[in-house]
Amino acid sequence: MKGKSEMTCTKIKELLVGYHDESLSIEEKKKVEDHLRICEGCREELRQIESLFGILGREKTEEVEPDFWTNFVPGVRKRIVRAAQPTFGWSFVPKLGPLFGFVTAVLIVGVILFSSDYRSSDRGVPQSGEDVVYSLYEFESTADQLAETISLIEAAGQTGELISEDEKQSILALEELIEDEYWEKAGWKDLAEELSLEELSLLEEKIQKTPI
Amino acid sequence: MSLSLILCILLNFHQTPVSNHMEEKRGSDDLQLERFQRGDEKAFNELVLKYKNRIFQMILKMVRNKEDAKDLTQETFVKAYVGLKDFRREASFFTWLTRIALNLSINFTKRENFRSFVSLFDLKKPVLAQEPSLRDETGDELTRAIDDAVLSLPPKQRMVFVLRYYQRLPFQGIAEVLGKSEGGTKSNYFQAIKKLKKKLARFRTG
Repeated sequence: MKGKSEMTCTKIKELLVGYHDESLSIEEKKKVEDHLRICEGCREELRQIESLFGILGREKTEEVEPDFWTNFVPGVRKRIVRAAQPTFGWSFVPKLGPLFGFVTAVLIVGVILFSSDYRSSDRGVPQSGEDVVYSLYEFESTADQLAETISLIEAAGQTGELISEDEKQSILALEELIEDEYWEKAGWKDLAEELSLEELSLLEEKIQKTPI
Repeated sequence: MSLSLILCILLNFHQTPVSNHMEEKRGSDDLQLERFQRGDEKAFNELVLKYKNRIFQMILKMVRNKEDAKDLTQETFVKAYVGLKDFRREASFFTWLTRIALNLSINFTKRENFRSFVSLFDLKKPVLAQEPSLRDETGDELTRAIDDAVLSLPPKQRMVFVLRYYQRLPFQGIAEVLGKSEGGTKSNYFQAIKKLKKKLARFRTG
């Protein structure tokens, strides 16, 4: 019973504002009045609503200077003329939005590509011996390793660093590897071009003397 | 000044907020609208003179500051002028004008709230027209409390409260202006009253 009564009060309270400003239908008005006779809580609610409208009724009204109304229409007209004049603004920005987006995207891609190129070119000039030892395993051919090592020597020379004995040995070993690699790939024609005439004739003699 | 303009001023002068909502029914401004759409600029002036007071009062109750209300009232008619050439009369002119005024008021108060919020982080705090220090000079404590209480209402509740309490519009008319159901506007009004009752409880007597 208590729950049902609370629900009725909730509904009645929603109608009390309308009851106060006399905007309820005859049925609703009767329903509210019947309930108010038996419910002190809702009577208190109605008193509070009446009190609120009493407070709102005491609000001071703002007076407007008469010349404001005298100049009102000319004022509106002036603003209409001003609004019709083309002025520089930022209204074009939304229209250019896609273009700005495209340019920004191109710039971002450009920066990414440039920075990656820059990083890979950095690899050609190592800053210390450790870098070289570490990076030796990354190269595809011995020639690349040698080029890297020579860069190291140059860089070390520029910065005044000394090359260790181990590093010198590794350079020599790399040079030998390059020789071997070259001759493995080279044909007889390349070999003949490398030899002097004397060496060539000497080689011919050796071949002729070699028993088949 | 044309006879119709004088007549319009006289009618406007004698209007009372309670009775004139019926006047805004579709068709009451048709003559002026047709004349304006045919290029008669004076017809627009007549509409301005007819509705300026009501629009000003409505905006004043929405933004609770006289100077801002004066500015926004002019802005409302400028916006109406710009949009009137394409006005399709799906609603009455007054309903349409009220929507413009309410939207401008809500956007204005949102901007002011944002500025006040930003100024909290600013060492050189700008003096806003709505700051209590300025309103001290123009109103008493009760009026300031009502201003604050009304401004604290969410936009929809504030619009419904202003249209119902100050403009005396029926709920059906309010629903039409706001594009909502009648039940929804009643609920908004009830919620607004509930909040105002709480905020202004200290002024209750007895």
